[in-house]
Amino acid sequence: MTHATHPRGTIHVVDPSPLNWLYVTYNTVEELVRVTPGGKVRPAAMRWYRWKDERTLDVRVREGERFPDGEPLTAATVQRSFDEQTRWTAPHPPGTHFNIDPRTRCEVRGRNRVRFHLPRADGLAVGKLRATHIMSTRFWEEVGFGYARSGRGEGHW
Amino acid sequence: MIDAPGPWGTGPFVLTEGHSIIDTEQAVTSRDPFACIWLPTEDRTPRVRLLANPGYWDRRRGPRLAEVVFRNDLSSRDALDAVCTTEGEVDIVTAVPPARRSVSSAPSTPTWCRSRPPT
Repeated sequence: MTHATHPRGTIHVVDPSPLNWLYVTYNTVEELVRVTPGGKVRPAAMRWYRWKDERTLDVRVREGERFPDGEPLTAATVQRSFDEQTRWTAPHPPGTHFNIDPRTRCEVRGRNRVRFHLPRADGLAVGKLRATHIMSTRFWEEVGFGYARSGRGEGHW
Repeated sequence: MIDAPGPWGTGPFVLTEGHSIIDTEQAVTSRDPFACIWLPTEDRTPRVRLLANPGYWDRRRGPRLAEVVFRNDLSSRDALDAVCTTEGEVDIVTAVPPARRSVSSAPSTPTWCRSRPPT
């Protein structure tokens, strides 16, 4: 695969699709993994993951990444994003099939390492992380998927 | 979804203007047994602007474009007209109804322009 050149040019898009909000989200935000057009789950905001046992998932967060305001991406960023999103009963518009068991705990194990403790085995847990957005601290403080403004997130993802 | 522009993510683009969101209300369709549905409504600003994140880590993925502007100030009909008859106003129109698709016979019309000419 060839490497992209420097970004250039402007395109104007008229997109009546009811999924336009999702295109904006998925092109401005990352998750620990993404899914390729061929359906493969691949690391995105993580370097790698490893199952320690069937209920313990170790993740190494990608080092050196920064949000546009300069905040570094760290294990603490991932932990806060996970904790914020598991507050919801139904955090994903496509459906609750993306839900990770809310009893799951995200533990910071170092600047760039987190460990997910699942209450029971879930072979789809890594794939479900595709829907857990990794957001900056300012996002949670100022916007926060509805919670920061309205005190609730249900129905306003 | 993202209510406001800002430095919120580490993706290939940064939302710098506007928003494109849906909001939903819960509608109860049965009390016993309990059942409900979501009633979504859209809220978009006239323009939503994404700028390339030059620090994005995956250069193979992009960004390849410096700027993407979603125009929500045009109807589908006006957008189809603009994409075929203007330069730089509208470059892509999605969700074109099949009834409005036809290959133009005009020799100057690009082959990717499949809008029926305005009547």
